[in-house]
Amino acid sequence: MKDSVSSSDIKKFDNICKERQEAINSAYIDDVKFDYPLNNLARVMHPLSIDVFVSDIKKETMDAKTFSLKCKDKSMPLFKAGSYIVLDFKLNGMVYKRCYSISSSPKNLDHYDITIKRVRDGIVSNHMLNDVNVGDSFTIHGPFGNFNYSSLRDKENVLALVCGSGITPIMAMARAISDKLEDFSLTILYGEAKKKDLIFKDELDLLAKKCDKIDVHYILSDENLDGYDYGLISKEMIMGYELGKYSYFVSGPVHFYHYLNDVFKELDVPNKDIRHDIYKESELELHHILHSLTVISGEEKKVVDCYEDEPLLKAMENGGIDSPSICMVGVCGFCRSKLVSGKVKADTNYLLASDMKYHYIHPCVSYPLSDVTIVLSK
Amino acid sequence: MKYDAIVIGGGGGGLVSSLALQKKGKNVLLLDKGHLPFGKQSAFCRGRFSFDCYFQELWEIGSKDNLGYLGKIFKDLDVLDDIKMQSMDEVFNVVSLDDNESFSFPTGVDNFILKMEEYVPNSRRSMEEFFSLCKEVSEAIVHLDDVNLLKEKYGRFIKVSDLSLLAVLKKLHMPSKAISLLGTYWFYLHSPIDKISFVEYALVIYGYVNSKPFVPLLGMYDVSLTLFEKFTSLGGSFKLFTEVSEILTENNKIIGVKTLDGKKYLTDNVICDLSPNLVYGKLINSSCVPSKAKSLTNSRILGPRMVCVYLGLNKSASQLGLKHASYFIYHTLNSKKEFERMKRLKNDNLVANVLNVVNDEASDKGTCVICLQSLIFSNVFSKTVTMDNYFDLKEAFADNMISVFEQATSCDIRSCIEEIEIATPLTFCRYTNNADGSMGYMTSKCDNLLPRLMNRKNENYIDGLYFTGDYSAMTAFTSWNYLSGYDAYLSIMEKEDNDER
Ligand code: FES
Repeated sequence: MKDSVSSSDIKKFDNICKERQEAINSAYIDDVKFDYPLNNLARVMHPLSIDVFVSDIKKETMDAKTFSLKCKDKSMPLFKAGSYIVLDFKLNGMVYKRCYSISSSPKNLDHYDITIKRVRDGIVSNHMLNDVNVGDSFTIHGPFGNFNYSSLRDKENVLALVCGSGITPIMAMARAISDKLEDFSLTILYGEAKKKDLIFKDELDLLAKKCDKIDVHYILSDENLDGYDYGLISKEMIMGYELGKYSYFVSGPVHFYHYLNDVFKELDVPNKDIRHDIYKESELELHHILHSLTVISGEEKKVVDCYEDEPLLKAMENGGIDSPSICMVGVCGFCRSKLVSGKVKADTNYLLASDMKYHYIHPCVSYPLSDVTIVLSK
Repeated sequence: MKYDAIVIGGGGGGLVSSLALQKKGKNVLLLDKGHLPFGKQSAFCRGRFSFDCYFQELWEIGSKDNLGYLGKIFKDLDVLDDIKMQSMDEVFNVVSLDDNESFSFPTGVDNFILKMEEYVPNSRRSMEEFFSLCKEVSEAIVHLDDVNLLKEKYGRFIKVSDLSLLAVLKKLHMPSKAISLLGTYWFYLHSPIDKISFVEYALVIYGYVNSKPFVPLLGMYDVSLTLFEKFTSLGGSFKLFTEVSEILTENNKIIGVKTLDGKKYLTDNVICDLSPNLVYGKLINSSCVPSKAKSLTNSRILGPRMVCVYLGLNKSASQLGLKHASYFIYHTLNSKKEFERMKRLKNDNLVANVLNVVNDEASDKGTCVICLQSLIFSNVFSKTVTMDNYFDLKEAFADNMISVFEQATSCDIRSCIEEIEIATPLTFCRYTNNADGSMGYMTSKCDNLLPRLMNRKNENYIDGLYFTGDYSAMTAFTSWNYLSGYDAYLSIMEKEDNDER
């Protein structure tokens, strides 16, 4: 190609601007409309929050109730079975956020069911069970979560290992299978103390009878009854299902996860085949020692008490500091804050490498080991 | 209190402009609706893996003593040394499924030419000319305002300025096979090679081949967070979880913004890391949008919709036999044909990044992360998707992409999937509010890098309103996202100088 520029070359170059201006001038000048079905659908499926009311309360056991949550004027967003919502619970001027797995089927989006079991000394669970009536209203967020079945990742057979109220997300999966929204074989080993504590037992039995993809066994630790296994979910029980053919979905309290992790290790089960619902309590052993927590947010600065055995987010909650959060278990990243001074014992599982480089923490799973100062990201 | 500038959305462009202005002593407020202010330049965790959401590599960083465009900007912003990076030795590996062939190209102009000669004998001369032309283009592009200089010194640039990639390569008598191979990046420029502007392509490929792509060792998220940390350390203000509901103007001048929570912030300058469709279609009262802005926005076609599949595998890249960091997988090497195919929902063409090949710390030992990206050059996704079929559609899409990747690489990844996440155009709508989940605009004769750059100053229809990111003049290419932020910063400084005079 020759270097010398001819006048026609220059004209072409100058035309680049002109042609574009002409193209713009010849376009229609109607108002620009930002009304895309996909952006609208995204908003419907992922609203910032949903205002709901309790449309029904069902007593499941002595200590557990199912609350049906409905939205006045629209149906609830679609979700994958296994997901949870976050409920804002307001009491005495404080807002407590709690995660609850949805136990109803994604087929019926007219409401979400959440099932709450009494936690000893639990502020929210006790109030929910004692004081909440049909018609009461709440704000919820979500659905969120990754405790879902994936045909691309998981085996065709799922062995659900459940302890106590951990049954709720698994219940949603069983219902979704029976409603043909999910397609996998689900065997549930459901451990409880006593028969009377089993939640959803009648419906689970019915689903197992009706649907050949669902199977359920109960294991009672405090009662030896006919038709029930006695003891704890054990390595032997798990080995009763051919190793290598199952994905394991674990749902229950944190000690249950730890116990099963040891079992999985002994059995050489690869990580890939183990799914956990979110952890619901601390796994750290800490002492009830008082420290002070300084929270900086924009121009504001506030100091509250915090205890070594209590996550920083809880200290903020108790101190009346409104800080962003969703999951309360270190997964969603909403509470992500910067640690500027002090020491914490933190669960860093869901922190990105660069977050660690710049001293970010998730206060919902960080425990103070000294006086601490953090800067909120909001 | 009045801010010198308000930046809406902290993607690459938003972050760079925030930091650059703050560094100049300006008083900047960065607003973002998310819990992280990084838009698509963000990351997330699943199990023991973490994934960058969007692009994985930077280019135009250059070497210590010969910094590229982006390298200079990062240096100027004082962040270059804070981001540890590893350069890549390979530009790309391209696979043709139908012909069952694959070709890989190294970085470095000479190596690239040699390799091409190996694949396509007698391509050498035209390749040499091609790269010398690329060099001229990349030197000329910074002098767009000085037409006389261009005419004097960069004649060849002027000559190719309105030509397509194909037209120029034909003029260089490049063998057709070499043309197809060289054109591999058309996927990211959103047009087949007979429609891509030569200048735009030259800048991209020269940036990759000559100055090498770089992978940040802590992921692209580290780039975002480093920019952000620098910004806040200089006193920059930010508000997260804060969605802008209105951009306020008066007599065609920016005066401030209003947020969803009802607050009002005053400023003369608003930098939008957003689409003009959103800004002119929703955020600015339509009676205040100049008719030129309307017709410009209406004249443009939304860019591709992207589906990304993020995989955490429980085998290492070498165990799996994956040798390349980026695979371009096409049915055929005919971009025209493949472009048409990619207007369909299921199109089988994709780009795959295997980060661990470059960065062995991208995930735990004995594992690796792969990101598969597919583009759709139409709005068929939004036409097809409903709430009821969404999960199935998403899974079927990913299923197919995994199969294509397995076919192209002859390796089994399916049995190694420990974590999987799928982002669709709907996901991008959710997090970035991009128009219809698109990535920037399509390119066309009058709407590609050069005409956009040459006209960008005439297209500031509202005084004090600037665009950065995917929908700005710098188009949807990561490194250019950052450049667009710098450009907005320069424009604001220039305006200030003029005002003072
Ligand atoms: S609230 Fe989700 S990570 Fe802390």
